[in-house]
Amino acid sequence: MRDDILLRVEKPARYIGNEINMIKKNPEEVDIRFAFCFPDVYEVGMSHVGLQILYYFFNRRSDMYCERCFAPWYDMEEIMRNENIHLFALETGDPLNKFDFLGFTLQYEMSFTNVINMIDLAGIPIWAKDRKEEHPIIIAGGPCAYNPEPLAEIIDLFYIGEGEVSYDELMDLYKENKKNGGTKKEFLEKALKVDGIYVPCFYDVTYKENGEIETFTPNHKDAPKKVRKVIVNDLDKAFYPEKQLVPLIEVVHDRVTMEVFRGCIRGCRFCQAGYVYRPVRERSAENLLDKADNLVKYSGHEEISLTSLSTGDYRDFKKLAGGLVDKFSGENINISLPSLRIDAFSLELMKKVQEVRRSSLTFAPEAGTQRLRDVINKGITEEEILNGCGLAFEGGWNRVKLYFMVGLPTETDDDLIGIAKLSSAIVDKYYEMPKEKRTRGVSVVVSSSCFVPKPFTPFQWAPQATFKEFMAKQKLVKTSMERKQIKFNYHEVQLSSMEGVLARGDRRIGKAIVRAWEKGAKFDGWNDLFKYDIWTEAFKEIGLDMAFYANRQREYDEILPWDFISIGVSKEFLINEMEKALEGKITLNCRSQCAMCGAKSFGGGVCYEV
Amino acid sequence: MKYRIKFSKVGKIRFIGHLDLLKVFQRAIKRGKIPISYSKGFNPHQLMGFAIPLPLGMASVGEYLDVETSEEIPPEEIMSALNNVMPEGIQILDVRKFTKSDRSCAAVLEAALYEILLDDKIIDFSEIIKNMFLQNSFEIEKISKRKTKIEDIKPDIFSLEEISNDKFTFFRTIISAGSQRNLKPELLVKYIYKYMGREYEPLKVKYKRIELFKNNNGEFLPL
Ligand code: SF4
Repeated sequence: MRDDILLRVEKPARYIGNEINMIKKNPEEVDIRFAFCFPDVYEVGMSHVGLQILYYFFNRRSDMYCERCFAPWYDMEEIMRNENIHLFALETGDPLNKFDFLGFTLQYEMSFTNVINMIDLAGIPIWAKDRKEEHPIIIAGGPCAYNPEPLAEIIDLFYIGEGEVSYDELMDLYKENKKNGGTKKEFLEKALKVDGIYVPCFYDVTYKENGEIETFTPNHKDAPKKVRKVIVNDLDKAFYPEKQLVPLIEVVHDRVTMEVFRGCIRGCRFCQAGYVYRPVRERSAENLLDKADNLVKYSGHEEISLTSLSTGDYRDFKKLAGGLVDKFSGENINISLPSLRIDAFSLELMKKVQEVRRSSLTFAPEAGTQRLRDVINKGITEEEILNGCGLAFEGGWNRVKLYFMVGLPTETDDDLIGIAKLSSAIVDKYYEMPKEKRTRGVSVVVSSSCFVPKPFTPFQWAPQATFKEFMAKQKLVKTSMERKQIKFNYHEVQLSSMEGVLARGDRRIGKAIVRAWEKGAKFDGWNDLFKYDIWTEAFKEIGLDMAFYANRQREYDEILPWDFISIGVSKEFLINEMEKALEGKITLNCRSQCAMCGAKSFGGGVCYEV
Repeated sequence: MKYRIKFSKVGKIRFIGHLDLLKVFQRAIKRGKIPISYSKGFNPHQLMGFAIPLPLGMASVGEYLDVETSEEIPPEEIMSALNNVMPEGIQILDVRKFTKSDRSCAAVLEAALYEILLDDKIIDFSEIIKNMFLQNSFEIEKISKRKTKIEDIKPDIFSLEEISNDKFTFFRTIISAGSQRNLKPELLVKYIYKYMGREYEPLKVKYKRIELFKNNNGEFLPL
């Protein structure tokens, strides 16, 4: 990128690459040029652990060069469009339209317009059918690929599952096909035989008059009826990088990040990650402690963070956390432990690794009453929360953060008022302490988001609350909050409503997404940049009803747009979970009692733990 | 143990700002296994201090920072350890141990030498500058966040000499820098353009910092 342009944009270092541990290769000497595209700004993308793993995974192949590209910010995009500069990769600065692959990671639905915008900025036609042999192949993976249909006419192929499993095979196929002078279509046909790969152009969809899907059928003999996700069974044997890219500017998370395990044993019924990543598979503490040395040594970071959906569920937690403290506490390295359960042990540990005064305690009860927590299978009780807070207050903490959701299935006003009651009970708990211990006062920050039903959860059939309903619910929670020690925030309602439409969208909404993009939608995940009106207009112009996607009760026998994907968890299990939810019955976690969800068929993980 | 480090910042990395540069150094010191000392207190940080921030986008071959270590190490070792782990564009040029009389680089800084390239060929530039210096004062508007005021920048300019080639007008200048008096080179260039009656276009002027000086009994010496 030219210096005079860099001088004109905010945070020019987003576009210069050359970070610590960046891989340098001669692009002339590789067979495959792959651009890892993260459809959000640099600071967000560079904080993503999946990018860090896949970047080195791809680059361990000598025949492949994986480079990175992020969504340029508004100011840079404007200059690029005015001066006809194509979107480029950070490593070489080469335009993306020269690459063999563009690989997008789909982390959240609201980044879809950025995907489209990046393809367009690269000078590549956005519709798959308009692309020619000379254009790159566009592949996408990540959590939102579990319902790939909204982008089915834009992306050439989707990767369903964990990258370490099938990418080598796919890249070998591509290389061979290219060498033999095969066409792009021939490659896509061959890709049909690779596990976890979905090639949308080889499937046709027909619709009923009422808008539901009538048939979803392969139109190619090699296209599997069901695409089964691929997962790594033994994470200790899987590739894990020795190094991490270290940005030159401040990003969202500036730290060594270690992935402790994948999946979650808990089965909260609203949580897509809790189902699509089943079964839980852990890395051993020995392996992680061993890897930590190099990650720290080669990065120079002063913080290590353990990531997973629920770190406290890691079986070897004591060994790992203790080991990290022993290894690094003398080197001024902080250890951050998100998603921990609060008990005596974890508090003791947090005292060792963090600074009590500044840190706050986080709880995610998600619902205000025990009844509703049972409905969503959130296995945390009021007593546990209050005891945890009590212990923490005694230990010197005085700030608590609470996360809730509104609009959950079966929710009533009592549940909403319950949010305020629980928050007050925490304040009361603080004042139960003797006066001399209450020197700093207590602060409770309550955040409530709007529930978005997601594919592959028991609530995938449930209607989402409408915009108006959400507003009324949030208002009720807000007015029920009486204590001055409590601060209440709520998540943007319009954004969640839109996310609700896209999350369970079918192939037809791709046109509405493109229309919204044409009307200026991008960075929709950014509250202040999201423009709801654009989206409602776009859906209207395409002739689609947003309520059909978000607010409708679906029947169990309806063909859902993502039904052709198998995550290993059976539909019967999800139906059963939905029914149990309505009865307020909980399901025990995988380690207490296997609920026979179906994921055992992968042959590994928690299902086989002894 | 205190050390003074001289380094350059050129190429694309000059597009990172001062706070980010600080982080880049902190991590490099960790990677290079320099036994850096930490401050005491709740939130310990590495003991290091820069002479003066370098504006984002500007190249320099004469930047300084001081670091404090918990053990004594030969300066050459610090230099090579850091150069092994520095990102492209930052090079450690020199490391020396503090002498008894040394004070922090920020405290002793008084002036800076810049090379400034005008993307233009100005005929008789030296002559113009000579005449400019015949004036008693160089008054120019200084715009800061809170207020705008007229200031005389003549006392801040210690030398100015043309080193042009046939294509561009090029000059070197030593001007005040540091906590006492500080002149931004851009303000000087703005003044020169104003004096010439030309319009100043920020993107056409290239600045490079060459050296930072302390005042040693009226003589400028590199930090
Ligand atoms: S099969 Fe049982 S143990 Fe395995 S993921 Fe499903 S519920 Fe958990």
